[in-house]
Amino acid sequence: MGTTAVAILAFAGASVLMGAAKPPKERKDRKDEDKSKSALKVGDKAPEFRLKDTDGKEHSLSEYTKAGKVVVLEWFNPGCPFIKLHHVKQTTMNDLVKDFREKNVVFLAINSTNSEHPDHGRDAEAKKDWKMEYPILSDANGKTGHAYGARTTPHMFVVDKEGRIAYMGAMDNDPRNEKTADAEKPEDRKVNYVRAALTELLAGGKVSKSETKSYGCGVKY
Amino acid sequence: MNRVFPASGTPGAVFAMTGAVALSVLMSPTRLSFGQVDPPEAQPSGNDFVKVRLALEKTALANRGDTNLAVIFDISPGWHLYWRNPGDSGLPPRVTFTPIEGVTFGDPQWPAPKRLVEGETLVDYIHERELVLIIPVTLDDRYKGGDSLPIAAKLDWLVCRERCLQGSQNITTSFPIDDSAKPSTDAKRFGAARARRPRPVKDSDHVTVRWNGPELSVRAAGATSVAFFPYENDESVYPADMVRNGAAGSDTLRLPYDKDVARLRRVAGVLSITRKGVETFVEISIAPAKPS
Repeated sequence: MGTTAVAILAFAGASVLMGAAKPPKERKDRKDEDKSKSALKVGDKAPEFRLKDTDGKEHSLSEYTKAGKVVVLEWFNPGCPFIKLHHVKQTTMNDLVKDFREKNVVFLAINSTNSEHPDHGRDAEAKKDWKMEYPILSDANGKTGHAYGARTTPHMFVVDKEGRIAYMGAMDNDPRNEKTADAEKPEDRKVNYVRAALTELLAGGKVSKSETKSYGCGVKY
Repeated sequence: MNRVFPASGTPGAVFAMTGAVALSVLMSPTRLSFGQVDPPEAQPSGNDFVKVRLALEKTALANRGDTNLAVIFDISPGWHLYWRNPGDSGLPPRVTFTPIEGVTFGDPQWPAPKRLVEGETLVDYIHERELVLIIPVTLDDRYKGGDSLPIAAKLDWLVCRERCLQGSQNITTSFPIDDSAKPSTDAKRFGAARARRPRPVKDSDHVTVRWNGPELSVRAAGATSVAFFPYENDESVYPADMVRNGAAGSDTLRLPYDKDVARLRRVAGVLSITRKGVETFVEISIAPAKPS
């Protein structure tokens, strides 16, 4: 610790300043500590929650982890194009469910959209239209979303059987839906990070890519 | 050589697509579209809130050497597009040019964005009202198209307000080639975009950037406010909590990174500095701290 390096400044794209612009927005002092960004890390205990699904049934994380299940959490908002990307344009989530539900893996979607937002209240319709065979839980006050530090829809979390975060981040490496699993060039190859994490976890190994930057729409807290 | 940009949502992929891939994108207009729940006619589109066009800084392209082309995104009030690194959410707009023998499309010159803090938990880097992406175009001896240049481009974008919508458009246009061109009616737009481009730091900027352990300290002496916009990177390593740490109403930013910062070749981005009510932009780049 205590490393101090003098800055080496490198530059590119020189241009000439031609005038004044507005000053950047001042940062806000946040009043509500619940809203502070989660410092959740891979390996941390996953925050407990108790939330109702679209049928009014309650689900808690611990009921599944105590039963020895691996739990996949998908931050969800049916109005977001990136959610539609994985539920309509592609069947990413339904494919994961099909491939892993018999392997002690439980899938839960969590919607933290606030109740004033126009996208709120469309979960039951989406579940039916998209043939989702797993519950969508309502977190309209955002408490669970903030506890996990969920930033985007989707934002994916894999919780291991001990209730610890094994993976957090993006669904895959392909926000523009232009890669394929069998592409010749490695950079063109689609990688589903959740599938990779589940595969490694269920094989008793460590998740090699355990954290990525999620992509999608901002969670509408 | 064709140019595709940007792919900041997939760090490291900027300008990485091949001509063949770019062409396949152009020939498959539905490939990038997202799914829909409602019937298409009931669904608003990102095209309703963003109008795009190609423009020249001068009235014609130069026969030889660089000329500046721009993609101009006219954004409806209240809506926004995303910078090359969108921040916590979003996706930057992208342009794919159809390759033309003897024509080189250069790197896009992104103007500095603004911070948008949402819900006090997310920070995005955005462009409002208008985004002018300047792209240098160079013709060489291999171009045999005479005194005009037909250009075909595929554009796609994500535009957000309360909701996010995807838009896309194919543009084909033809520009004259003439070495005696004059400034075009869009020249002022180019100037305004250039004014928000970061420039190299000079000694007279009084900017110091240094590591204090894992914390990057950025000081612009005499500034009343500073903000940092990190570039996208291959490793998805960014300072912690940019809502709190990414801007300050003082002359100093403290940007805490975790140990993964050692994986980056450089920590780089745009620094906004406001002094006496005037905002300027410089580019900073520093090698990561060595793990101790």
